[in-house]
Amino acid sequence: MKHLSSLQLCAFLDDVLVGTPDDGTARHLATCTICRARYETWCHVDDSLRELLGQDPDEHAMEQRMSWVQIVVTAERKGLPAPEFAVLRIALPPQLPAPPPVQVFPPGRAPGFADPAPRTTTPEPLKRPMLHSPILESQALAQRASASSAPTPAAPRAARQPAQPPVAAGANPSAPPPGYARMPRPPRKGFAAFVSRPGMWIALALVAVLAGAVPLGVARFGIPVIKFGFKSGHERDADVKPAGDEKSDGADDAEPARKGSAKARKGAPDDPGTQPDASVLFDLPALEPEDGEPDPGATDAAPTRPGKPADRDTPARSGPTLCGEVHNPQGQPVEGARVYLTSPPRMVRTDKSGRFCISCPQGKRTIRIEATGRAPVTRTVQMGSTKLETRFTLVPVN
Amino acid sequence: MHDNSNAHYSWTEPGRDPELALAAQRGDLGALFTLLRKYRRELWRVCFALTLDRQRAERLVHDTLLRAAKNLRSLPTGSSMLPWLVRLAAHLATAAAKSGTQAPGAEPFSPEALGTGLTEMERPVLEAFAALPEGERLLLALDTIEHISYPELAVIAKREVPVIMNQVALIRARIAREEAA
Repeated sequence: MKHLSSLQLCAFLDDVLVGTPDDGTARHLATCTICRARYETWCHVDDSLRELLGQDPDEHAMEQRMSWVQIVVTAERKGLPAPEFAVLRIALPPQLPAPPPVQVFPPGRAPGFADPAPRTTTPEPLKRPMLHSPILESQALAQRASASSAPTPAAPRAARQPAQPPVAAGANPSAPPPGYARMPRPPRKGFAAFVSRPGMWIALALVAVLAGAVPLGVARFGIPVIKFGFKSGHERDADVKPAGDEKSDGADDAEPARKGSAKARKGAPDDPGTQPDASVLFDLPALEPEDGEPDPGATDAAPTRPGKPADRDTPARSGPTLCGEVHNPQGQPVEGARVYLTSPPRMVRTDKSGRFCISCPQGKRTIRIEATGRAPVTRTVQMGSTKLETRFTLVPVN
Repeated sequence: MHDNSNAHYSWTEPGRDPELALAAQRGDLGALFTLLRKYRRELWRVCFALTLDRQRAERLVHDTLLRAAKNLRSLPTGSSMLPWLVRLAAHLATAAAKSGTQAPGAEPFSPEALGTGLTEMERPVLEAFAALPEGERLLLALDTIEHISYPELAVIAKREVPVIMNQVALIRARIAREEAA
């Protein structure tokens, strides 16, 4: 069996071990007689040292030493020679005679104790506390003075001074009547009442905190800029650039920026001052074409807004343009008919007079006209370098 | 103020000591005397364990306090004064033992000088304890009598905790061996 080391025994004796080591040491001490004898020897050493050395100082001697230390330190601070300890004599506090021992007797058993006779006098009735009011006091004094003109011990104050009139009717209201100091303080008025309210100080503290916090916030984050996402229709229309202002290549040249499209959502990187409209701010979906039609110009076609054929007869840019009119068999214009250009894919709608204009590159192009309730018409035209006028007639579907 | 000597408290907790020490260094005699009086009982017990004589312990106490009042600037900043006083007392006791100087009128150590009735079992323990060097005597007294924890002993003795544990175990083993012999 392996015996406990001195370190283990010392730690166990000082109650440092916890948990498994503590339990293991205790189990070993319960079984190993050699370690148990060592442990008991160590315990005996500790107990003997506590018994022999665990003494308290002599308070009087310690007080003499402390006083001497104070005197020496004070003398050294003042540059005086330090006195010798043997010269110093501090008088002991006078020893008072010990008090006689106190004898405790049970109730009624003390020597010479006699139970007093039962009381025959009736106890005095309780008096209500009287408010020290000058008015009430003067009234009471007047009653006492009228009841007896001679001073009585019960009314010594009435004998010393006459009854005071009430304050309100007194000749000198500024002088405080007797007992005035005991009156409750009158409520404060005006500015004093305003200042004495704790709520006012709390409000002032809040204002001071806010006044200090706002400049700090402005200094830290700058002046806040409030951006409202809503724009009027006029402003939204102004956001749509005209076709000729677009600085892009190819087929996008004539297309206005679509609201909510990816391009508009990103904003023009070349124009940092471009402000997004409400649809961009709130991530609204793009405007869908009427009649549930799929957006044919998802890549580069820009459908014209219905009811706003502003540039039907005006080419978006200088170049070949295909214009035309769409009528029914009776010769009446068909409004809102969709005019598709297959290559490049574009779509416009006819206006109230059935007219449309679409930018069309030179060459052989295919035009398809569709309208609700009418049979579509497809036609191939040869586009030159100038404007081309066509007419279409849509027949109703039976 | 730790006036109750029976109460166990931390010897290394600074409390108001740094504040009082700073005031004393600035010339406040009241703060200085408050600081010196604060640990007089603990200091006496330490000195008693070092000298094993009541009178010599009192002499060592006021020597220690005078030395502390003169060298208050060397008190570590922000620390309790008691470990510093204990080290100061141990240093003075060791120096006195090496130089052979004793307090005037003091006699060589005898177990009967403790003033308590010694039993036959206590005498060898006390003699073995008196034979220890001052530092080991102080360490065992702080551990056994004052019940100071090992981390605080490490702070007072400026040693690592394992070193302190090992040293206390060796001292106990030595005393037990001599007591058994």
